[in-house]
Amino acid sequence: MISVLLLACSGGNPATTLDGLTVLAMAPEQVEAASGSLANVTVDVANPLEQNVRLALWACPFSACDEGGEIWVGEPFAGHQVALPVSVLVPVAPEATPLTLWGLAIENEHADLLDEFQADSDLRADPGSTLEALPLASYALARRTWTVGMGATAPAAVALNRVPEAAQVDAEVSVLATVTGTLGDEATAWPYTTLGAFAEVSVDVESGQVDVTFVAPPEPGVGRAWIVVEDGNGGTATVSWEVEVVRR
Amino acid sequence: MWTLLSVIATAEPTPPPEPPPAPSDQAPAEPAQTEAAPPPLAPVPSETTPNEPVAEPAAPPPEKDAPEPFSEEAPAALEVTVSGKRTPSDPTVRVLESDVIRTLPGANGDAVRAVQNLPGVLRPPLGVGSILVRGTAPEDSATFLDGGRIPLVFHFSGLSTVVNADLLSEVAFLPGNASVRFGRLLGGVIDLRTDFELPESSTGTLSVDFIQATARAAQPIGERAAIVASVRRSYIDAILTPVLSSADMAVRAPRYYDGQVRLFGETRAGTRWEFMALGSDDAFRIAGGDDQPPDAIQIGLGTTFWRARGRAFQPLDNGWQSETMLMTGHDLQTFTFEVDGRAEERAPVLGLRQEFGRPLAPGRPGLRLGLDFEGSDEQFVYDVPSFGPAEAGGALRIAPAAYAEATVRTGPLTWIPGVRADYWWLDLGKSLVHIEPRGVVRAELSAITDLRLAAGLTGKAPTVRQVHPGSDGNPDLGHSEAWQVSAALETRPARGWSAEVTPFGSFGRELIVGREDRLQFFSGPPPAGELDTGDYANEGVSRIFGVESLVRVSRGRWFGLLSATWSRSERRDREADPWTLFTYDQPLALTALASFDANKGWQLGVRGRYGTGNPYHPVSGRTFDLDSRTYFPTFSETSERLPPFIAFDLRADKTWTFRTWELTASLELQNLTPVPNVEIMAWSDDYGEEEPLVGIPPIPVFGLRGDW
Repeated sequence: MISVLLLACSGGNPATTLDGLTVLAMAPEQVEAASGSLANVTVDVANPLEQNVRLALWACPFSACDEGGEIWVGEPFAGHQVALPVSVLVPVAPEATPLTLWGLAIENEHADLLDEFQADSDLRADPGSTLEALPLASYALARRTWTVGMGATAPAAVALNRVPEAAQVDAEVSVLATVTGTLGDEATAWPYTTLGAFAEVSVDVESGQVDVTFVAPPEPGVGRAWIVVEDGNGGTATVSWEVEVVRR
Repeated sequence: MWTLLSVIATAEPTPPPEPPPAPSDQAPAEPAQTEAAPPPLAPVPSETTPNEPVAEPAAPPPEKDAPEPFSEEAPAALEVTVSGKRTPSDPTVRVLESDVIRTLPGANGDAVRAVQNLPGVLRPPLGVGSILVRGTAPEDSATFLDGGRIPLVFHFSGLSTVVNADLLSEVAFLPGNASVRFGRLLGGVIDLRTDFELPESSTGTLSVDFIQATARAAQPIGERAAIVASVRRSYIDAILTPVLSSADMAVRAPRYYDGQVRLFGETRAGTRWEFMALGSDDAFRIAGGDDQPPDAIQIGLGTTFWRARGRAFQPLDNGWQSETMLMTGHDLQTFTFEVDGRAEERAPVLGLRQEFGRPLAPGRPGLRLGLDFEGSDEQFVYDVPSFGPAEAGGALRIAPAAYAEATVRTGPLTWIPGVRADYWWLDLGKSLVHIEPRGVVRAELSAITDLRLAAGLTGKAPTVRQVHPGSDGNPDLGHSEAWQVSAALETRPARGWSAEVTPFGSFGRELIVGREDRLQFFSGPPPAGELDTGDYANEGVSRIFGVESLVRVSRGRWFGLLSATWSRSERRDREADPWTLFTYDQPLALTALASFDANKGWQLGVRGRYGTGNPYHPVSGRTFDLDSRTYFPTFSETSERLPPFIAFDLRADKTWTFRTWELTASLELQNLTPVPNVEIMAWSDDYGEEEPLVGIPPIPVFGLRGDW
């Protein structure tokens, strides 16, 4: 058991450097969507290899996906952010109903699988098993909980306070972002980058200030960075910027 | 680092040692000598004598390598009769005498590590402290001390056996088809055995090495009693803690200690008696970390147990003997996680064994009748928020068992039918009965060859937690059980040579499966691949096939051993599931070992090991959970194998003999391997890359030992 514990402890914090297709955030415009309504969901996708991908979103109750549920599929894109409308079709419950919101970014050449997801609600409930045959690098699957009820609380919004200018190789650069809106006590921030790495991360709930430290790599290059803020109240907001690292 | 071993040499009571005598070869024409015929005052564990098929029940001839306890004859400095002892009702018993253990390369003097050289024992991943027997899980096998169960065989991660080898006379390994004396298991048995050999004078041992320090003393009390005591303390924590720790986190490497006190003797009426107390304590901690005080425990593991027992062997009329053992103790396992997480299992335990036995003799069968009682008040708490909802509960467990066995000879055949009945009761209003028929037929094919066929049922009751309603248990659970079969063919073709081939099988059914997602104490790697998160149920089945072979030679100054195990172990957890390779399936395990007495106090040894890599399920998919910001893998249903394990060990011992004491220095180079061995498959945080965990690099272990 000790060995396994050491193994578990060896991982440390999740990596902040992204080298493959990743769905980083799915931010519904409403923390609690009204049942049956259309809600826009903004999706941030890291696509460092600039693969030609398509994005699909669908929502299911925790237990299973309803027959006849819908799946929204976007057009092929190679960017880093896309917004899609998602219909919320679960019955209205007296109390808030948790959903699982699924996001799938998949290489366009495998997009025919999305038809299968559309046709079979069981596949949508367990998408991992359907994707098992694909190379890991050809898709990115993510999920999050989403509450559907009668409320309509606006999520937090993140505004980037200071965009660092080009960083020098091996330099450490502080990046500040300010969150507008109310942060809960459990508010967290998650920085990601396709170039270099992030070190220190802190969130000041009172002031809404997010402070992260970008560590430039030893070689110059251009990449993209994100700060994903979970506001502690169910809302998600992101900010993204281009990172450039130059020689001293 | 967790497989570092220490030098636990065997203290023989009468230094200075004699020059190595002729090896105690077993005469091919005298197969009876290969039986476990004890010396008159040897411990006579009941499985070795009461129904001994040899027709000398009153005075079996002393074994050639077993000195008279009260004689002046010094025991051999190097006993090389490694195995071959067996008992009629245990078709396959492989015994290692403590003298042999002392200098075996790779074992580093440890009693049970030496057993891992034998066929039937598979190598655990990372060399962790568990025994894998014939393709079964570690928890399916059991460890006994003179027939009384102890909860632990190794200190953390296999650093050392929990009982000092100096107090043991031998270690018996029964890979399957154990006699009815042993129960409540599905795999094999390791029986640590003491004897009643009295020291003729005060003796002592002091040894130190890279890992631990050991002190032992033996003192005769009058002419018919003696006391032996041993204490041991590891200090690898002091060495490794600074290495493993970082600026903000302190890793407290494993530390353990154990101690044993044994008072024993024999009355003039021939009753051998004993009082023994032993205890063991292990601890491992990781402290400090982000925003935490340096001494705040982040992860802590502890295992503590103690036992106190009284034991007596009494000769009765008409060749009958009585063995009585009363044992009590306490077991405790703890796991602490961060500030508010704690899991604990604790149980005061009580054990009683009463056995009457009579050896086989001309005109009358051998008989064995016994009662094997276990009781415990088992309490558990699992309150670690990171691992799900809290659980707590407990129950009083009463588990008496009765067993009977006969030994009948008809011509060249010896028949040993037996039956064991286990009753299991919890004060939760639940009880179970399990009847286990077992039998052995031995055929003496020639003066040097015999065949032993065995079949029998074994069973294991559920744990309290698995049935407790307060912890989401299943009160309808029954015994897991397994039919074990084997056919052991053994021959001794020439003096000092023996060879054995044993096909075996084990067919488990109604195995308890489910709830693999729960935090639990485990002795091996945790479940891998997709976890069975369903409710507990008796739905699992297993099938294990294999062949063990062992060739050993003990000639002159040489001792050699070649063991091989071919096996396949498969399981199916639920009826709808496919059969899959079991986590511990290892198709081939090979060990070649040689030891040479080079004279002038030098003893040299080498060991080579090969083992097929364990199966693992590759990651076939992954999902990024945005709530927790962690990846959850999907594992492939088809398994792949880790690369094979290959390693060599070299050992050299040099003994200087002085007038009143002797000093032995040893150097063991462990884990000499051409490439680092992959032990467990691990993955990067996003499960995108395989990052296998490799074994430890080559390690030199130096030790000093003084005996007087």
